[in-house]
Amino acid sequence: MREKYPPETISLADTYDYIMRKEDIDKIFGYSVKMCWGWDEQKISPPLGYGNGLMVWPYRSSIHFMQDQCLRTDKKSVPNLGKLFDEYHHNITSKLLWWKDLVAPRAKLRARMWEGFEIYVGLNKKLRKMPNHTDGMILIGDAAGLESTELCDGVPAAWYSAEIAAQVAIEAIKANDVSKAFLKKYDDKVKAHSIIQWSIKGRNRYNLRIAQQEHDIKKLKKYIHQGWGLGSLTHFTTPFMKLLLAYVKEDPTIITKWIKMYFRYYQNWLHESYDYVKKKVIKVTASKRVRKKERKFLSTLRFIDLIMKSMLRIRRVLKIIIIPLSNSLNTLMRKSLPIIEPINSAIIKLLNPISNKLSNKMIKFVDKANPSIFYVY
Amino acid sequence: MVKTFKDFPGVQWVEGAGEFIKINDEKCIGCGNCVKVCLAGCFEIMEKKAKIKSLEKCMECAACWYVCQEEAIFFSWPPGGTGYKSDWG
Repeated sequence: MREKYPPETISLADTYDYIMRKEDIDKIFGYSVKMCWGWDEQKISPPLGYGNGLMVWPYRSSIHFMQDQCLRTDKKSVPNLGKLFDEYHHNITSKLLWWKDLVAPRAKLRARMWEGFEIYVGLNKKLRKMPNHTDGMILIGDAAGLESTELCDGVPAAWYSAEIAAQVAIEAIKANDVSKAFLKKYDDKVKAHSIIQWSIKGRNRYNLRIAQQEHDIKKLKKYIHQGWGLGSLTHFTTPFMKLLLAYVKEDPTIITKWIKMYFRYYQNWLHESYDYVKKKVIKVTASKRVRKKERKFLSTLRFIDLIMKSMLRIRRVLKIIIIPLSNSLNTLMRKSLPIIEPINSAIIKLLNPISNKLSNKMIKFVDKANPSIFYVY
Repeated sequence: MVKTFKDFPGVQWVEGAGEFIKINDEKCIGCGNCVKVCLAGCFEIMEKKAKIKSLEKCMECAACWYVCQEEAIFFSWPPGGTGYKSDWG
């Protein structure tokens, strides 16, 4: 079906599963994003070649610590991962102060695992062109080389490609045709998907590696700004808007559905809604005040739906103004970023005193609200 | 039979996986790349050729297969229900 991916595109992810109390996870990881950066010689992140990373994923009562490294380096040599991973893990857990002081006393190792993942496939034109389909078969996600080289994230592209694969598979079954020629539709749609293509071609993570190698703080700041800061608006806005418009065109209520799903996810995180000992759902009794807020929440969502539906009715607006505008949003952002950035900083400063209060109010509401108001039908 | 190992907590190895990794002696040049990338220490070099020491701790990541430039390593996933097993991955 396709050629083997070369080892420099494959990263080995060495993962440690630590048990940790939910309250501690919330306190340490719940309300902030921590980004650490280390030079090669510090050996606090896998430093060889152009593939490396360190991530911590919080779960309900455990965290996953993952360090990864490409199987072959810039110098075409194969690093001794068996030896180096132990060294990195030891250094990170003993040298990073926030890990040493905050995490280590509260975390207990439960498991260690590793697996290979296809990180840099998207950067290679030849690999990108390889088919992800053949007679009776479609590849999705990492297997199809759709890992994001921009942010090092495989989940969104896996979901998007799975959605496309499901659509094409249903069509193929209906047409009673699972031939390679019919399934080509899948690859065509993946190649036309704005977010998948943006994420697999992005060079942000690769660029960060170069800045690290060259000890160049200026470059480092620039790439972090472009990848995770407001600079991302200069290359992310157009593909994002294109995808958003495609979804809205298909279902104008999609935005309120996403809002509900977000709140439901958040509620699931906040409290246990299921008693595992008694094996039944825990009922939450809400006050009149919460009921009033629930009604307000639902009517706001209905209002948003109404606007979206009426906007869709005026298809000409979408066709003449919004779609062409979305194509030039990246350029627009590039030009207006020097104005947007100070405004953004000023707004953050202005909202800072009230943002905590607002967040706490929202958390209280989500915690007490009837879960059924977040259901998506 | 299910086995566990002290140095890899939380992970089990279910017997019956068979020879899911094989080395072609004729192609192997003994470069040692498989030894370097294998976190489970499944390989060793003997008489300038790579040999499988044991596959009991193999997590089936296929790193050995990827780094073998001579295409001397054959890799296929073990039958379902055998080999690497973890509840935390």
